[in-house]
Amino acid sequence: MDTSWRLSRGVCLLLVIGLLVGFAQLLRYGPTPGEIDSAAFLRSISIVQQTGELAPSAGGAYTNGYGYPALGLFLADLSAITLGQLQLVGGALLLAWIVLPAWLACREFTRSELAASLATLILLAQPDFIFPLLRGTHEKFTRGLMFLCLYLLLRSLRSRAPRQLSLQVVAFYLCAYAMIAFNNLLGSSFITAVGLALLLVWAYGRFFTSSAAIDRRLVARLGYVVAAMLVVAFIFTFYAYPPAQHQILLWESVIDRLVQLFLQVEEASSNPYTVVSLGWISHPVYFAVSSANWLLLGGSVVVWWAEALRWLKRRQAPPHVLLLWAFYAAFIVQGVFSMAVDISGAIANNLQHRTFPSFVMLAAPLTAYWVSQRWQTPRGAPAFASRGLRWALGTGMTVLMALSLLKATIEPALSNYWTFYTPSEYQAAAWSERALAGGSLWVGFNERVAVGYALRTDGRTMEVYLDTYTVDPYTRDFLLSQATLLYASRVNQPIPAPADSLVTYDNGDAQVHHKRPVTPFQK
Amino acid sequence: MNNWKFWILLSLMICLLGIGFIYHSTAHASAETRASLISNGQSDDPVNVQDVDGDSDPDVASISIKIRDDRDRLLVFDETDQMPWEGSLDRYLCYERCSWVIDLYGDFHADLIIKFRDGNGDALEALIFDDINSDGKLPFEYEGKTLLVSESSFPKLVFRVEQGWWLDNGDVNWNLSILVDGSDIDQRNTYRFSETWQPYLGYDGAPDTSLVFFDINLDGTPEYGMWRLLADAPDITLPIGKTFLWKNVGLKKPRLQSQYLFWPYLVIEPDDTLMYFDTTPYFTVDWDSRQIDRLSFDGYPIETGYHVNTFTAFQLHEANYANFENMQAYYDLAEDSDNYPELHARIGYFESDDPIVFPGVTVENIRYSWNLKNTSGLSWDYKLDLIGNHKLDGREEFPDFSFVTIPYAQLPGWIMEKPWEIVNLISVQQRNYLSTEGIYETGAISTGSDQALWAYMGGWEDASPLLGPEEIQLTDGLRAEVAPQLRDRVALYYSPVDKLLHLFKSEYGVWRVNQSESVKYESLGPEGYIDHWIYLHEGNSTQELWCVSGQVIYYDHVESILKWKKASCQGMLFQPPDDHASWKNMQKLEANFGQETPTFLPRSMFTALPGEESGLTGVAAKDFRHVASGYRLILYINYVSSQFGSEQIDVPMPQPGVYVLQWIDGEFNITPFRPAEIELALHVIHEPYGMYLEAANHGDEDLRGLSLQITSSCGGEERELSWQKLNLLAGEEYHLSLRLLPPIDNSCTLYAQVLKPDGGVLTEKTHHLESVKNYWLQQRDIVAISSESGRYWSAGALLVLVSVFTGALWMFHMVRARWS
Repeated sequence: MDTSWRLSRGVCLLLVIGLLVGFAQLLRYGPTPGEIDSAAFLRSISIVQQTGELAPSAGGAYTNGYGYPALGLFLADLSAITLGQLQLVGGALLLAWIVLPAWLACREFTRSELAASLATLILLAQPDFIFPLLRGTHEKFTRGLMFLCLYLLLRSLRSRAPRQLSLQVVAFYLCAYAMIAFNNLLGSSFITAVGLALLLVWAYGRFFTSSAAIDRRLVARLGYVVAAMLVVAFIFTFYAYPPAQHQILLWESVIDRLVQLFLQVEEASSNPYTVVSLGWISHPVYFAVSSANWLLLGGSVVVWWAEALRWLKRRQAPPHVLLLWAFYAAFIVQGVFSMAVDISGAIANNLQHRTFPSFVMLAAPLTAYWVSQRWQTPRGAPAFASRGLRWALGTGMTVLMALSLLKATIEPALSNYWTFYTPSEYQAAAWSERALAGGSLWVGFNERVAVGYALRTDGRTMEVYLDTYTVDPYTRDFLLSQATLLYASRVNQPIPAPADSLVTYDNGDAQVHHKRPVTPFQK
Repeated sequence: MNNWKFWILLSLMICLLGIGFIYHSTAHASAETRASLISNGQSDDPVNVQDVDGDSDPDVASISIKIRDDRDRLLVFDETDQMPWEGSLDRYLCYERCSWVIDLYGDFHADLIIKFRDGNGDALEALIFDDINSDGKLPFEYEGKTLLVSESSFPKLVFRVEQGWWLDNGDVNWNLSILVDGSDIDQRNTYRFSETWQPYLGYDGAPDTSLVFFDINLDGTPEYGMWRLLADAPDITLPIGKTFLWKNVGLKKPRLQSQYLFWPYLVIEPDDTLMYFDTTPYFTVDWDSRQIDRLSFDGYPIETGYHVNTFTAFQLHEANYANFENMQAYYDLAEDSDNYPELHARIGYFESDDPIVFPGVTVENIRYSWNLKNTSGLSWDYKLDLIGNHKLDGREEFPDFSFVTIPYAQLPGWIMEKPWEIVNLISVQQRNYLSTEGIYETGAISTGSDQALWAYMGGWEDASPLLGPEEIQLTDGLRAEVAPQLRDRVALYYSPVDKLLHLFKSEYGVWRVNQSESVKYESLGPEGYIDHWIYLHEGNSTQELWCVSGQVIYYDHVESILKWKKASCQGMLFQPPDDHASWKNMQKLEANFGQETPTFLPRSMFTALPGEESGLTGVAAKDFRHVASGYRLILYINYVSSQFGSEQIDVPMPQPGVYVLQWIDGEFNITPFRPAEIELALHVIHEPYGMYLEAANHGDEDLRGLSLQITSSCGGEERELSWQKLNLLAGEEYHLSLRLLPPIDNSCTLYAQVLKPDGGVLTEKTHHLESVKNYWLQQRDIVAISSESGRYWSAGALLVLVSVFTGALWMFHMVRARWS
């Protein structure tokens, strides 16, 4: 069996796994998850579609980049499906596209197809990496472009033919621009990581190694990348896509909050890590479904330190591994920074969450590389050829994948954050658009029904306001369904509909309760 | 050099020097020189004319005035080269193309400068300069027949008039506009600007406010005036008046201020002005600081006319939206032209999408006050507060703009023909109520924020902002009553019982006689008339009066007397006055059916009614209540009780005991009293959630002020399901339906309790609910309803399939492949 066939088989199998993960999401809930980011992007894409402008003058565009709205419109037009279907079905199944760029990048880092396959499989088993990729957001494409950038960067570093090199460099900057155009925040994060990696590589070359020539070229190339990407990011933010300047305001508040945190003793405004227990039915369940994350986090840190010590001792590191090590460290630093920002409460309390997938992208190949270097017999046969070890590893992977899928798909039996809605709830919301036009309907303790209905109706403006969380003072109608009652029981919250309210709609599973009028001005 | 050449050269030099000296000393005289020239020209003449530029033409007329003392002067600087050397004072008082400098104490320092000049077209302008930078000086230069104010480039005030300051008939020309730059000047009749607005009202050459008047037919009588805030600050959403409009409907001709200084708008000491359009607008100066301190259009209000005070900035050539006071209208109902209106109508108005206050619902709150007795002055006898949701859809038209409202002439009639949601009547019983804006007291309508009223009328607030009968606050001598749910046109009547004016369909009210005495009113029956009077002394009820179905019943708590006689309870309905005829009509009604000196004691009211009285002595009574075609009460008879009169109860006296006395269709019926007997039933319907509660009072005693509380206890956790106030009247039932959450994994106990006013338990009922589901069944349900297939096992099967496939792939690939 030749290399190319082995390569194709490996990648194809991984693509199949990627598709299976996407299908798991789809088949678990059907086209009925009410996921808020998917709905938000649906609105952004709709606005672009209606106005015909990537940066609509009336506002409403996704501020961090036009890439995903543009791609989403293109895909919807190409496939003749609605935007809502694109977000729901396409959002889940398109996860598979990331397999190829991830495999290519991991192969460049590890110089091993098997290690690349292992790294990609590890990635597909990381719930916090998979979860955002299953949604109808930019992230799967931004991550994929990030992998492509890493692949092209590393490939170009070992290219000798000028034509090949120039094509790879051009392709790299095109991918970099595309990544920034999809999300300039992640693009900035990537630039920062490259800059940090540059510093680490330079420091290693300056103080710990004698391979001056290689390091100089590497350092110089990284320097060019940082400078050029900064220019690209600047042009994008201030000229190509003015809504991205929202990022500037974002950074101002982060800096303010960080200064307060480090220069002045004060109580943290919130600790996002305390919400862990609120999101799942118990701590043990949370740790169980996150076990793949913890294993990779712990294992990769150990590997990183081990490699660092080894290079310090030997004073020599292969360039591709050095880069892998440096990028890993760069994203670790960013992760620590994001934790500090999250604790300060500067922005949406999910910066740590968004940095973790970037970290995982480097942790997986680092771990896979170490495994490939350690677990090999002198004759080249895999050390775990024994049946027992195979079964153990296979079973372990099966269990990890199952747990990761439970987390990535936010299994409602275990999670307190439900995203699904039922057909009866959809029917009740549809009825309310006719019967309660201009009014307000409370639909639940979170946004699952409201967002799900918006996705199902392609984000059009609704005739009724779907009230969520705390009941708005103007709201006099309440949607109560079996799901709502079960959720209320789960989170031990009382149903806000007054006990003596009138039932004005009933489809068997879902009812609409109307607050009994007590004044002459109420109906 | 030859001697003769030397001497010629010397002579030429001397001539040149001399010419230069003469030139500078005459044609370019300095300010000091000019001042000395002027001062040298002082004499006993009232006008002293001087040529300051040496061109042999008079330039400056110095006119003696007296603001502070006899040394004060008005210097009129000629800018047209037409000033004569001699003439009467009038020839020197120019109002076009000249400048006035007011110099107090004759100290050669300007204290105020007015530059008269031509404006665009036929307009004339007067630019007013003062010591803007407060440095104690107001420098100027007079050069080339032009006076230039060095203090600043632009004036603080600009008066502009079309076609002359005076009309041909000698009247002041009211086609006047006054522009103000900055916010230093106190602008009476409008606002002193808050600190929030100060940064937007800078002294910068751009006018910030304008005050304009119009006399369209040039008869010396202005038709209207308007003050506008011209500066804009779109990011400020605080309410602030941006437009103030006065309409002189009665075409009152204003007089000039008596102490103006030659020009009618510069006033030394303003007159006391009663109404707007009584006098001209004016400005005054703080002579100590040399600064304009006030621009004013005095007087408030008007006998026939209206004003508008709105948070919106009126734009010309548009139909403008006016909120807040749209409008305050005054009417001479008496048609006596005594300078005092007899009717005041204030429309407080906000539309649902008002950009300033965002009420969420269109609401007008109208204050409608009238002076029925025609007492001299701004005196008021009655007032209605009318609250509704009508959208204003008329227009008041002006030559260059309009605004949406109900036209002035139609307003009173429009108010009377519209149905209103909430109406409040205030009557002035024992005093003279003077105010410029009608009667302010609002009685039951809370004087808290408008937001509470808007929320209530918008339907998203359950609690009414109206004050209950115990909470109404009034000053002594006022009487208030409210119809909280009128939903009809307003009607009034004079009650035949107390001879006072009442609001038809009012539900309750109070008359605060003085600090210790008050009378409470109630309407207990369905007809809409006040039929219950309670006299309170030091908060204690001592006398009560009821009027039911043609019978008046009086009960004296102190003397233990219960009396009755036949009398009518209903008065003739009529609408409040909205024009002269209806006002005169109401005066007649008041004379015929009202009383000159109102009485507040139920005893006196009862005695004054004609007819024979019957009754019981030595008895006590309580729980009076209307029933169909009559009334009932609880009667306590003791050994000293007796009857009198021709209409007696069929019970032998004395027969001590407690009885239920009913009067139905003209017949008395007396039965022994049974205490309250409460029956409480709780039914739980075995659907996912349903409970039905019934409470009934099978006795004769009315129970009021109770509360019903329903709680659940599930797994040790208690939760209140419902709480509400409750009156359980004798013979009546109460029903309540509730929804419940089904208990999960626990059994629950429901408690229904009827509590007394003191919190004690009157009666209670419990019901036990068994758990319908356990935890794992609930988890199964969650998985099932969240699955596409609706089956709980499909999700698990999918998970296992994907995971196993992944594991198997991993094993296969790792075994068959090789590391490379």
